[in-house]
Order: sequence, then C-alpha cells, then structure tokens
Amino acid sequence: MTLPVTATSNPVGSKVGRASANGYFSLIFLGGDASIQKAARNGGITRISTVDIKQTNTLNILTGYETIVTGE
Amino acid sequence: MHRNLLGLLIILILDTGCLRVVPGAKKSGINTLTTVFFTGTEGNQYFIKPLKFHGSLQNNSLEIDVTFRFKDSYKGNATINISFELPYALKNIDSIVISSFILDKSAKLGEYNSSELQLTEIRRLFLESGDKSVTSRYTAKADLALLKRLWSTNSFYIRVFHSQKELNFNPTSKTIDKIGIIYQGVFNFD
Repeated sequence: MTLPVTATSNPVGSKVGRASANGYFSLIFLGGDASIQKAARNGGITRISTVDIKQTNTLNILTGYETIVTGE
Repeated sequence: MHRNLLGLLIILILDTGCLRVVPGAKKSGINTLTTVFFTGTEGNQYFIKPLKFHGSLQNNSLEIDVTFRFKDSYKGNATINISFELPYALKNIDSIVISSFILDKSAKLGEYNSSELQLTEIRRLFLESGDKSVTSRYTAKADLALLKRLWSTNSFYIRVFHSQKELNFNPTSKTIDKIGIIYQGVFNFD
C-alpha cells in the first residue's frame, strides 16, 4: 500500500531517492532507516517535491517500509 | 503452554495484516520493481528501484537505480545512481561501463556498439562507513535510447575503472529475472 505523506509547490523533480527499512512481527527492526532525509540524500535531492511511503506486510511476520522522495 | 503460544501465533497471523490488499502489487511484478510519477506535459517519470549486483571479489556489491522520463519516445538522458558496498571508500571513479552479456544483433555495421554503454557526468553523492563495509554512492547520466537497447538483451554487467584498477559486478539471479520484467513494464512502449 502506497500512502502520500506530503507534497510541496515544487513541480515533480527529475531526481528520485529511496530509503527502506524492514522488520519482523512489527516489533523488531534491525537498524533500517527509511527517513525522508535518507531518501533525499540517496537521490541527491535538496529541494523536495513529493514524498510517498509504501508499506508492505506479509502475514504480519515481515513488515517493510519504503520512502520515495522526488525533487531537485 | 504450547497451546497458548500456538493461539498467540494464529492471532498474529490472522490480525489485519494478512487480510490487507496491496493494490496492483503482485510479488516480483512491475509495481514492486518500479514507481511511476505523472509529470504533466513531460509525460511520466519512471523510477527503477535498486537492482543488486555482486562483485567478482568477496564483500563487493553494488545497487543501481534508474530514473527517466518518457512521453512518446526514449530520448534524452536517464539518471543512474549507484551505491557501492566495498571494504574501502571509493573516492573517485574514472569511468563506468555497462556491458551486455549478449551481442546486440540489431546493431548495423558502423553503428555505435550498443552492447556497451559508458556513463557520463559521474559525480559522487556521499561516502558512508558501515559496520562491515563503506557505502560510496555516485550519480551519473546515460543515453536513454542506448540504455533501452542494452536492457533489451535482458542481462548486463557493470565495469568500474578507478585508480588504474577495474572492478566487475554481475547481476544476481534475482536481478536477471527483474531486468526482464522491467523491460516489459517500462521499456516497451514504442
């Protein structure tokens, strides 16, 4: 499931950055960093246009969070 | 005691999580491998999520992601970001070449050898030390039409030249499968 987090007045930028974190039983997360800051850094983005978060869940055992940022 | 544990496990599994519907997301389908953004007059922007390649040396690997825009033809440049996981920091890169395992039979005599693609405008984004390796992240540009032709061969490897050394990275078996799915999903519109 992909959810919007925020959008700014900047047009959709040509750069995209992604950051992800995975966990077990929604309780144990092994140091993953799915922050907006990390996604922006991975894409070399300094002006953010949109932020989306995608969440996946497999039988409540595996949980994944993925942040995707666009910008310039 | 065992019954209680079993009951707890069943409750965990039957909790809302397993009943959630993920729209359009088939495991290993195109929606899990790419993201599409509508950009108005410039058509759609495609983001190919990181694909893993393993190095010929132990503890060497990289992940590559690709961003490009498509309206009615594959022209212009794609942005390619690469994260290297190496035992040392990759402080500079002389060149990066993506080559196909298969010769492109559609290339005509005298035409650019489309089985090789040299990245341009290579720029370092950051270096970051981890517990077991150092992440060196770079961004570069690639001709989109050539990238499409390379992708059509369904399998390619990456060579990195730095400080008179060469590093080779080959796709994992999962990556080879993903390359084919991605080609059908985002490189097959013209």
